[in-house]
Amino acid sequence: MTIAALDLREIESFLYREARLADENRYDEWLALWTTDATYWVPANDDDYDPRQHVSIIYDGWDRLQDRIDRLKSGAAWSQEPRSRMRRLISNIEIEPQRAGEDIAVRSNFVLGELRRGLQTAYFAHQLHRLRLCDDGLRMSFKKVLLLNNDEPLHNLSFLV
Amino acid sequence: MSQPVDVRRLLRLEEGLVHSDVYTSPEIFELEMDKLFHEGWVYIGHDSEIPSPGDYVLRPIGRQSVIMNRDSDGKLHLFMNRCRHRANSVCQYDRGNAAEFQCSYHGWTYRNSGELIALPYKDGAYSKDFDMKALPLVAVRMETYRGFIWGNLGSGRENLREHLGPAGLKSIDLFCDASPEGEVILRQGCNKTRIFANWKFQGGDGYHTPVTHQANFAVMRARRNGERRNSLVRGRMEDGWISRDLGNGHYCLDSRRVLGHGVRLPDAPWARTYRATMVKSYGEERADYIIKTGGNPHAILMPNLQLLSPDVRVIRPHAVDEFDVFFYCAFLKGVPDELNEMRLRDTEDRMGPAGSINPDDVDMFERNQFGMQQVVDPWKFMARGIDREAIDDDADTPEPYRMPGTHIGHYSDEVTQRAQLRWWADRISSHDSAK
Repeated sequence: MTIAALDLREIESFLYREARLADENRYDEWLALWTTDATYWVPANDDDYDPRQHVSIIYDGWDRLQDRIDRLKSGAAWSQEPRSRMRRLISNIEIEPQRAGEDIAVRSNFVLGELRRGLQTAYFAHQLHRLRLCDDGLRMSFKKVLLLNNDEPLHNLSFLV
Repeated sequence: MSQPVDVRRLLRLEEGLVHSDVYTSPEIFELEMDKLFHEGWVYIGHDSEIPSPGDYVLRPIGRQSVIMNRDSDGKLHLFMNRCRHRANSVCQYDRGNAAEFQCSYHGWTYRNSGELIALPYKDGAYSKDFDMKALPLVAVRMETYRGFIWGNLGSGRENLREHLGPAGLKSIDLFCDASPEGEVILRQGCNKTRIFANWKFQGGDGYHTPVTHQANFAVMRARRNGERRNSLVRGRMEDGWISRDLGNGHYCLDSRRVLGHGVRLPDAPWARTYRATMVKSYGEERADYIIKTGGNPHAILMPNLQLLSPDVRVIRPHAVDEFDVFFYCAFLKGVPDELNEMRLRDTEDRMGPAGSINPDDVDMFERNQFGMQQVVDPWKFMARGIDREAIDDDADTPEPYRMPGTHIGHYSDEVTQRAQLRWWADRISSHDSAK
């Protein structure tokens, strides 16, 4: 499947759905959006580097991603009890030129408002998704979130960012 | 300068009682800045962070800003980040490389070894005895141990080795000796967590683990059953952990007797290579001891350094109810890349604002801070294990890591908190700068 055959609207609606499931803490439905060769990456200190040489805020493969969801669902992940209320806006969507056989690379920006225990926090970020057309529709194999403040002390990023 | 406080009003440690003001009073926080951070030894950074001539990092000592750098000849320095002219900061970036530090207000320029080398329109502006040599960047007293660098803004007589004490020094030794070359590298960046609670919440609390971190147990069980591949199977605390007072306010949750704590090595060629290089460096018995313990002293060294393998944690207090913890992953020099990458993933997995451990601790500290605002009964009860504290000769531990004469308790006992508070009371009520 090439980009020409995929409507931009389909890609947009994937990003919006992903954002809505994360916003609403719908953990299993969010996890189901991934392929099992997943890489979920939130860099620390800088936007890009070799993740084998530098610590990240999140660098999850499929196993760790399942751990993350299990933890959040346990009812005892106190940093999400009570849970964060969130809404994010996605814009500046750009689709990278696609090469045959490769996942579709999509860039976008988001603003995320997060409220927990009376503290409302705004996050700004650029994100990079790689999407793959599977039998049941689009899934993501890669998501990298470049937080504007990734070199600043962060209070609680234990929700799905 | 704040006045000494009457700690007898705040601590009744023989009954295990601690007044909430210790953690909530802004006046006490000011005293802590004066007496614990602007006097005495404060951890700054590690020499591996500035490997090349000209490298620098900007770091705090309490509320002061210091430049830790290597000059063009490779010599280490600590300088106040303050121009000798009108006190502007001369360094604006957290890290970088500079041959000179120039104040961008009036252009006074300092070599990276501190000397003032240029100031604009100098001729005729100052008296005849004006001497640029008398105005270098102000150097901060500095001492190092195994690459770790401390600064001291006070004039006390205590040197760094006295401050760390024998058990503190041995903790650092164990941490570094996990490298066959005896060196750690702290150049892999760090996770930074902000906590809206008092900085004296530094962990080392064995009692909280099964409750605060219960969300992780299901995850760990799945891993143990081999349902998911992951190295992070850790020993249970019942298996021989101890709480230990290391002296001078330092303490640890001692996991050294627990087989395979720390990063458990898989049955892989690289793990055998690692063991072989360790045996070559230390001999078989000592190498296996270090590997068994994961090189993890699990030590909390006052006032602001923690060594919890594989990470080095640094405390940065901001206010009575706000501080940061920076989690640096320590790489081991001279080991297979696989081991260091495993350490990196291990740090990420647990620590930082999206980890599986740290965010739950943060919530506990903040709930604790909130609870202490309730003033009906201001006393906290920290008497756990007060009657079973014992002096230990640490006989099971081989040299050079034995810590004889230290106080220990059951892993869940509040030995560690009382150790911190005894030191705190002594320092906070001191009248001179002898410490």
